[in-house]
Amino acid sequence: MKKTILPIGPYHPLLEEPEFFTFYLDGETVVDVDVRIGYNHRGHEKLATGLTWDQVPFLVERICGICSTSHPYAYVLAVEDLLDIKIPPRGQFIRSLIGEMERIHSHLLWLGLAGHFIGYNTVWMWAWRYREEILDACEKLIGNRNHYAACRPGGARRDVTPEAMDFTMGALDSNEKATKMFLGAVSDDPVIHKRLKNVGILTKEDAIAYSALGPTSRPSGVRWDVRESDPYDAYGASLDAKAWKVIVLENGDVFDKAALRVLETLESIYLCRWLIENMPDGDIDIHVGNIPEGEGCGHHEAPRGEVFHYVRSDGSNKPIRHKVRAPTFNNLPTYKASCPGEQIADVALITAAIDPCYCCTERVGVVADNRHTTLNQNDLLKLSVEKTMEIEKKLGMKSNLAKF
Amino acid sequence: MTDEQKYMVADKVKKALGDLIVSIEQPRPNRIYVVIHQDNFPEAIRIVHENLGGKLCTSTALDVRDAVELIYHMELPEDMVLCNVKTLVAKPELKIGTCANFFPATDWIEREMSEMYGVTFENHPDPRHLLLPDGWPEGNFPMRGDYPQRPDGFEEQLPDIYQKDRK
Amino acid sequence: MGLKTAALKKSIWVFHVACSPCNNCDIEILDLLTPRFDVERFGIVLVGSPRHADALLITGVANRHVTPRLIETYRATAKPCVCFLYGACACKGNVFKGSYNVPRMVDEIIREEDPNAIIVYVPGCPPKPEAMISGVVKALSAL
Repeated sequence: MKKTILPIGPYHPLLEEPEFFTFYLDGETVVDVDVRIGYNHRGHEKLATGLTWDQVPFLVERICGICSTSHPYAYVLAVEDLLDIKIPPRGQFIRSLIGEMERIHSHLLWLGLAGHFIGYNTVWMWAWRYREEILDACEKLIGNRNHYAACRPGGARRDVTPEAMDFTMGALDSNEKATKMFLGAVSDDPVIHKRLKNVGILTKEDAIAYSALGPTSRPSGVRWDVRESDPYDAYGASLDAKAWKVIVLENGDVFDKAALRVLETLESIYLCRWLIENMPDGDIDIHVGNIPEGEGCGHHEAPRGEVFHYVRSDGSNKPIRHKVRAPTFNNLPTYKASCPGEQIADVALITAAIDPCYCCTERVGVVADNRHTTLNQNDLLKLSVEKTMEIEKKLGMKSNLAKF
Repeated sequence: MTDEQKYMVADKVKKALGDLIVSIEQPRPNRIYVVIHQDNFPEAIRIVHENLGGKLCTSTALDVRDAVELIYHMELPEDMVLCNVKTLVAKPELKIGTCANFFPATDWIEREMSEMYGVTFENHPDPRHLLLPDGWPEGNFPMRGDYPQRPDGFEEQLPDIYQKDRK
Repeated sequence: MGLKTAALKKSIWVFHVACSPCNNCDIEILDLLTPRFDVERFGIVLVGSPRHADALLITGVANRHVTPRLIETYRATAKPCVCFLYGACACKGNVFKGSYNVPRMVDEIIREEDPNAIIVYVPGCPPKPEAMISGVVKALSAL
């Protein structure tokens, strides 16, 4: 059995830590998937028991940088569930606004990296260029491009100014035009159709059995969205006002996952506009005193799925148990259902399609058949781009891909 | 769905689980807490998943002094209620049946709970470590109440792959 | 500092090592390649292997599982190389100091391996891309 181990070399954030994709190949087909994680385990749950209740949001923000407000949001919802309090409307709207801005930036990030995987580097550069405007808007609204620290138990941490909201409306307008352009590009291009349609299908039964979340299960016909099934903050009011809707698609392949994310970006833009136009006046938070004994669960719909936090208190100033579960934890095991039977050149796309946030979870090893080879992320990328070039040749198109 | 309709969901859960329930309470309209005995636990999870349409959000283990409490957080999306199913697993044996054979979503989270707290899930298909690094010493369960934040003397217990890199 | 380090001053090739990051610093590094900041106009390229690199861009804390791999990567890089520790996690541990899985900081690990290592700290959580460019410029002018 030939065994090749290639050096460490994460190339971009989707697949961070030392990745050894271990393939046993039967020709070109994958037979089984195994996942080995642990490279990003830093011990948040143990650290949280040593911090006070209002210090924990700053710790959990650093679980993931891309879904950076989702974890503090779910944590403060859990604490407010324990206390059974309602926070003022302006605070609710601010938190939801930052949550939706994060969704837009995260989906644009994914779109850029998905384009990079197929070999369309222009999509990468354009998507990230439009994303910069969203990050500028976040910096004006709440103070930072990425780690926003917008939530605290009892409300929002900082207020938003009218100038910032005007700037944000401008950024949203230009992003809406850009997203509609991307939607047209994704749905019309024949090469993308050939690469993404009927690849990596996750059936509805499998999505329910693995409890897959967010944009991993909604393209398979499973209508699970926490903003709708357990409304919190401004989402209940916005759904009643029909400012946005939940998107559910049917096929469950990578094409649907891509289309779903672009459609969700548009819905988030509409929702952000509604939130800014209807922003109520008043306080942004209420005072939270001692936390009594009890327990609370909080969940928030992050860009990748549902983030769930659970806290248990014994009346002291620190939580005695804080459970964190990020959406990729539920989504990663679905590789067992969606990868077998696919070709190796598509594996890079299928692994990227669930938008893994590996800081919450880690590294994949795919087991196929006889020969044991270890490939790293660059090799997978090369295989994926070569397949695109072949398809372009077959369709008689001139290749626009840069030499890899 | 109104709050009154959500309060009726507790009756639905009571009917489905029958006499497996030790206690049930609904402190807020969208949160139900059900306590089950540890022997009936996998059966109760199966009923909530298959008959009530529950999805597994996650499960939490915590160390109360003479037992480990397990809570499986099951959301009922159509009923808009989060139903938390709890049990106590007695120390020192810490054995309970697994749900991974009929409910694949519980596979990974049971592996994490067993490596962090030392709970053994009988008949689990894949009882390896999930998050802890290779060579983590046996018998060290980091999330237990008596495990220190910063363990001393730990470095000497690590196997060679860590030691040899320090010449 | 010598001919070899003087040769590092222009158009450095960078290898990105992510130890156990939260990915925020990593997407800010990728932001450097996108049209707004565009460091490729200076000749700075992200390469796929440490053996081709002039500089290592290290993000994240080093947890127990990653530490041997980090040491191997450092050994594989051709010397002299510059180690940029990007972000508060790589510099001094950030909020993760004291965790059971994070025993040593990245700069201790690298110094133990090579006492003459050139280490540059770029603090922030995350440091803005402008901070990275400024850090690279200051470091290379000081060499």
